[in-house]
Amino acid sequence: MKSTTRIAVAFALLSTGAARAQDWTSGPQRPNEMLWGFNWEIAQPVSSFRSYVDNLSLRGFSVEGRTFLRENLSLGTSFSWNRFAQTRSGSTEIPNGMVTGRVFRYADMLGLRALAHYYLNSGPVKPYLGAGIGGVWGYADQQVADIFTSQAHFAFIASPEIGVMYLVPRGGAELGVNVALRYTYTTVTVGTQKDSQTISAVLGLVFGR
Amino acid sequence: MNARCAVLATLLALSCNSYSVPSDVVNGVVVITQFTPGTTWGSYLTYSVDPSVAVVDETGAVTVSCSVDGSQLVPTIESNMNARGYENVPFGEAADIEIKMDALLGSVNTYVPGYCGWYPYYYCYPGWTYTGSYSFGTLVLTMGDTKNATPGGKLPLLWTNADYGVLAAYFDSGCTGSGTSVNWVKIRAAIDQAFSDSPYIVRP
Repeated sequence: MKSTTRIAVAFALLSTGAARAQDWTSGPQRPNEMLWGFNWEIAQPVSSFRSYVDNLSLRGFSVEGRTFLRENLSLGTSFSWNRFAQTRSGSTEIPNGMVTGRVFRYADMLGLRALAHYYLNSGPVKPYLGAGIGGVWGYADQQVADIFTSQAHFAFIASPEIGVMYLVPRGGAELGVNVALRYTYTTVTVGTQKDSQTISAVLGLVFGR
Repeated sequence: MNARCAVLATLLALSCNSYSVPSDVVNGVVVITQFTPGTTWGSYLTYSVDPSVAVVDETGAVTVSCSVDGSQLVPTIESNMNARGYENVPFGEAADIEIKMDALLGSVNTYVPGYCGWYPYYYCYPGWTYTGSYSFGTLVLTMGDTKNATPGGKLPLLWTNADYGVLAAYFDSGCTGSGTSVNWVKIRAAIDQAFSDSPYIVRP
């Protein structure tokens, strides 16, 4: 509930800023214009990753920079971090047997991606389609009692997304919000599960100049 | 602008919590069962339970082995075996399956290669190790195949159960104690869980 309140405050502050900006125009982005985004990411494990942890992760963020080549096309880079952790009770099959107990499972994913986005509108409200591709460092550990195993390696990441930005001029810059829905595919192995995948809601602030 | 920065910082701080393994996991009970492939469980009729517990006590500077009374656990084992269709015979008489109990007590130094954490920023040192000391107390049940054992040879094992953490490191000071501080309820629950995880142990 506190998280929801904080997000609402963020949007309220931005809305207030927009209301005070009497001189904003809905001009297109200029070539070479930079947009910086700071996003909070809420990620839900899907597919085989869901067998490892199935709860929603609120612990994630990304920082991204986008440079406009044309008014409707940008390229950029992104650094992202997502953390997943869950404690479960249950049984796991092992060769010729079974293990039963409280199991703690954890995973961190730090991604570095090249981004491309296509904007469907040149006005202040910019729906977009995008994709990212790059590398991700994945670290996972599992523990029952004091028995501990871990995996850590560098892997592939690809992430198509759809979203919308709302930008308003503010002085000599632009401010806005970013909302996106992202599917992330990685080749990260966690425990015995391969190819960790998530669907994420992305909520962020955008600063352009 | 400051307000927006504050909101941004709040969102990021929300994301950046450290993690730790819950104590109910670290100090929890783990029940492990394994059977010998190819075992025809229906070919066995009778079983017996050795009421003594063979203890390997490493809680002190010197490893000590001894035998303590485990008769309080025998009814739990018997009720599970009887429910699976096997016939109990007194220990010492000829039986197809002999069930024995062992206790492993002590503490061990552990290490975790590649330790990560927060302070004051997130860091990982793949080449470093985190070390710590854990106490362990494990009850081990084994089923020996006395029906097909070779005289003078090793007793073939049909089934093994390790109940990790049930003895909480101290079987009342191992070989020197009286056993009064043992959590029998915890141990019995683990034994029941072991049989629950082994539905193949059944005589039709």
